[in-house]
Amino acid sequence: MNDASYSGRPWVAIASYDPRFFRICEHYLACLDGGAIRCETFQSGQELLARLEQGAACQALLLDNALADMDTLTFCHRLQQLDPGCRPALLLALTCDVRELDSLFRPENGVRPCAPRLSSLSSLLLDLKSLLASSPRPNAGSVNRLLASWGAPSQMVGVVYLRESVCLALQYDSHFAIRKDILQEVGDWHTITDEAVDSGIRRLIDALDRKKAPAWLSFRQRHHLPQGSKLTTGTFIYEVRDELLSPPPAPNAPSEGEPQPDEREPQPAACV
Amino acid sequence: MNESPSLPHAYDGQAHADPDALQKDLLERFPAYAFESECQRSLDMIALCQRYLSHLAQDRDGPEADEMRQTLSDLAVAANRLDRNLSSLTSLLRCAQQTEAPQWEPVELCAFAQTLCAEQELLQKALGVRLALDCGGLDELTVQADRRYLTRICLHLISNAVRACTPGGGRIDLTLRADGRGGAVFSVTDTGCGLPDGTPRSQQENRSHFLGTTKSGLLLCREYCRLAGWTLELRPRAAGHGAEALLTLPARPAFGQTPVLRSCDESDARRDARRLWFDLAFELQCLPGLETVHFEPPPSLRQI
Repeated sequence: MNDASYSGRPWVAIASYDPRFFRICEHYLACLDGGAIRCETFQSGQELLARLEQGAACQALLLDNALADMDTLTFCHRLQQLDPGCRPALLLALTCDVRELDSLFRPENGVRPCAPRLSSLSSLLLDLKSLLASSPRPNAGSVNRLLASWGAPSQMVGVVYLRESVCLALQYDSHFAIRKDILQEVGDWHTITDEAVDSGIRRLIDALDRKKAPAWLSFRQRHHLPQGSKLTTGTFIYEVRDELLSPPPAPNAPSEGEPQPDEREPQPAACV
Repeated sequence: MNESPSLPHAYDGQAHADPDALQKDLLERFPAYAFESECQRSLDMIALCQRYLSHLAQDRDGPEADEMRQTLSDLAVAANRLDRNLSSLTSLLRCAQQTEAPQWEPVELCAFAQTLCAEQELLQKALGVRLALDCGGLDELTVQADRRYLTRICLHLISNAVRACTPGGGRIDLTLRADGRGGAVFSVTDTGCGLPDGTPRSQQENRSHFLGTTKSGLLLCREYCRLAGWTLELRPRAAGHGAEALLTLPARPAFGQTPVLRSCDESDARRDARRLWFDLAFELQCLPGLETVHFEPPPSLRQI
C-alpha cells in the first residue's frame, strides 16, 4: 500500500494488481484539481476492505478488473457486506457489468438509493468534480464518535442498530419511512424483526438517560427533547441524523463569516 | 506454473474431428468475458492517458504543442471507434454463445425518447440535421423492455439516420406511439441517402455515407430483436428521399421469459437518463463531424 499524506482533502482509493494502473489513475486525478484529491493505492482488496471497515472516509474508489488477492466482483460482494456508512460514495469499476453492480448495491425494492453510486469512465471527470464540490458526508465513524461522547455502552446491540439506522437515514436527502426504509432494512441484515431493532434502540435510549452524560443532556436540550420526556426511536434517528449533518459549533469557534486567523479575506469575484 | 491449457474437448486426440463440432466447441469455450474485460481495460487506460496528456498540452503554445493536441485528438477518436466496434463484437459474441438473455424491466419510453433527443441543438448547429421528437401527445408510456437492447438499437438507428443525412444536413423524425395493445412502436425517419435499391449508383451513394463503419451494428440490433421478440423493419421513406426504421415492442416479453420486475423511483429514473445521455454522447462522438465536439450533459443530469 502506498500511504498518501493525511489531510482534509477528499480521499480517493485506487485498487489494482497493476502498478501501471496506479500511475495512470494518479496522473489523471492529479490533473483534475491541482492535487486537491488525495490518492491512496491498494494492491490487496483485503487491506482496503479493512481500512474501510475501520471507518476511513473514502469518497471514491477506482477499481481495476482484478486485485492481487481477489477479483473485482468478489471485492464488490465484500464491499456490499460492509456497513453502508463505510462504503465509498462513488465507485468506478472498470470493465464490470454495470447491471450486475447495480443489483449488488441496490435492493430490489428500489427504495434505498444505491451506495456507492456507480460512475463510468465517460462521466468520471464530472462525477469526481461533483464529489469535490460536495461537503464530506458523515459516516459510521461520525456516529461512533457521537455515541462515545454520550458514553454509550459499546456492548449493547442497540449501538449497532442505531449506527446502521443512522447511516441508512443519511443516504436520504429528505424524508423516509422509519419502519419500512430503516428498521426493516436493518432487521433484514441481522435476520430479526423491525420490532427487535426498535426495542434494541429504545434500550440504548434508556441506558443513555440513566447515564446522564453531559454531552447527552446537551444533545437532548439542543434538540428540544427535555430529559424525562419519552423519546421514540424514529425521533431519535431523525435527531441524530440532524446532529451529524449540522453539528453544534465548537466552543470558542469564531462566528460564521468571521475569517480564521490564518485565512485571508476572500477576493471580490471578477465580473465576466 | 504455466497458464492452464484450455484446448477444446473436440481436439483431444481427434485428428479428423467434425469441423462443425470443433467450431461449436471453440465458440462455447472462448473466454468472452475475460477477453472483453481485458480489452476494455486497455482502452480505458488509453483514454485516461490521453486525457492526462491533453491536460498537460492545454496551456502550451507553439506549433509543436498544436501538433501534440491534434495527435491527442486523433488518438481519442481512434480509441472511441475501437471501443464502439469492440463493444459490438463482444455483444455479438455473447449472442453467439447464447449467454445474452434479455432482462425485462419497466421502461418509460417518453422520457427515454426525450433523452435520445437531448442533443437536438448541437446536431442542428454542427451538422445541419434537424432532429424532431413526436410522442403523439403521450406524456408517459411504460413497457416491459430490456433497457440495454433498447438503448443499443435506438442509438444505432439515430446514428445511422445522422450518417445518412450528412454531409449536407436533413431531417430526422423520431416518433413514439402506443400500439393499442399495451406495446409501443418507435420509428426513425430520415431524409438522407436512403436504402440502396440495387443500382450501382444508389449503392455507391449509400457507401459514401457509411465509410468507416463495420455494419455490425445492424446485425447486433437484429439479434437483440430476435432475443427480445421485437421486430425491426427498414424501408424507404413513404415520400421523397430517405429511409424509415420501425421498431415494434410488443406488450409482454415474448417466448415466455420471466420478467424481472423492479419498482422505479425518481432517483432510478434520473440515473437511467444519465446513463442513456452518456451513451448518446459517446455514440454521437463516433460520427463524422462530431468527433471533436465537447459534449456537456444537461444541467439536470450533471450531478451523480
